[in-house]
Amino acid sequence: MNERSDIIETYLDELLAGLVGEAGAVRRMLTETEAHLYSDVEQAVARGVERDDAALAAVARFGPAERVAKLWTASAPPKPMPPLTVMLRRAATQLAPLAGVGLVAIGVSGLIARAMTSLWGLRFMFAGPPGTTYPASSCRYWMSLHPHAATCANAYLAESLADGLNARYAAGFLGVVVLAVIAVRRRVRHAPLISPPMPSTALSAVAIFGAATIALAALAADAIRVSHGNGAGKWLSAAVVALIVCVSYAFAYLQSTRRRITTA
Amino acid sequence: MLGMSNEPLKGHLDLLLLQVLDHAPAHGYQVVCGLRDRSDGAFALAEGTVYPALHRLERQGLLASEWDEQGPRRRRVYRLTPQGRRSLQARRTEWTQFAVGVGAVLGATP
Repeated sequence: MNERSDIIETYLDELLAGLVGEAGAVRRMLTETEAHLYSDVEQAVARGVERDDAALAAVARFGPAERVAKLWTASAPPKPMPPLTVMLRRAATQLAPLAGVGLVAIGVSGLIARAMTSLWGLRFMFAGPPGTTYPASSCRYWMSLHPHAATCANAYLAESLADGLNARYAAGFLGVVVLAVIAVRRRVRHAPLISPPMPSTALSAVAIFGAATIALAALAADAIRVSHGNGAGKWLSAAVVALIVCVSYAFAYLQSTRRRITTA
Repeated sequence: MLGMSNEPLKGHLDLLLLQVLDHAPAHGYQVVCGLRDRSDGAFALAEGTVYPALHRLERQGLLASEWDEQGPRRRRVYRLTPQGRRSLQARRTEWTQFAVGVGAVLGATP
């Protein structure tokens, strides 16, 4: 007689949720509890008791799941700490997608910086405060790289544009590579290519990108206030992307929380 | 017989479990039934509390256990170890002395 009982299965779920300990020991406690409760039900059914009534009585005699789980957990040997390598691997698995997204975000900020340069000019993106002077040796170097520039300041701006944007594009490319490697690993393991982030990861991302948004926006505001907008664009372009990523992860966190509430 | 409170049972659960297993190896459900039958239902014990005690006694080396794969579901069958048998003997003696002492006090006229 192996008919399942919803009452007992629910009880086992509640017990499992409360058991804390080494996986094998938890599984053993659950298996023994299951055998005990179904044996009790089968005995009662054989005496003519209704199956659901028998299940309710068996569960009641076994004791509240929370109390049994607490008692078992208190007497169980402590759960062994996973080895350092396992913890590092878990951390890397959690953080790698975050790093990939962060690097891609930097690349996207390069595209936005490029667009801002077209709209508001090089000064908005990279110029220093008004009255900034440049060493002669640097000027010679920049002029050699940008011979069409009319002045040292223009050569500096052209060089800043090239350096600043190329560095961001390179970061973006690296991010794409990281995400591609993650995707290939998932495909090899037959896991979904895109999976929602764990709530803890999403929350960490909100904190990291939220802090970055505030810091970058403050630097942009400072450049607008102190340097009449010169150089504000390089901060602003990054702040916009950080804000978008922050909001996206906040949305993912809310979604995951809603899913957990729905399945609870 | 009406079930008594769990409090007096707490300190003696190990002795009772070892005693039930002294006769023959048994799985958890049989141990609980044994306790219930022998006490004539006197112990209103939450049956789930027996398993943490059995696991603890096993870790202490007083019980050994193995899976019984026969039958419709797997069961863990417990048996006394030699150390468990010695412990049972010692606890039984201790309990008898205690019970005699308590009986003597209760039986004494003021």
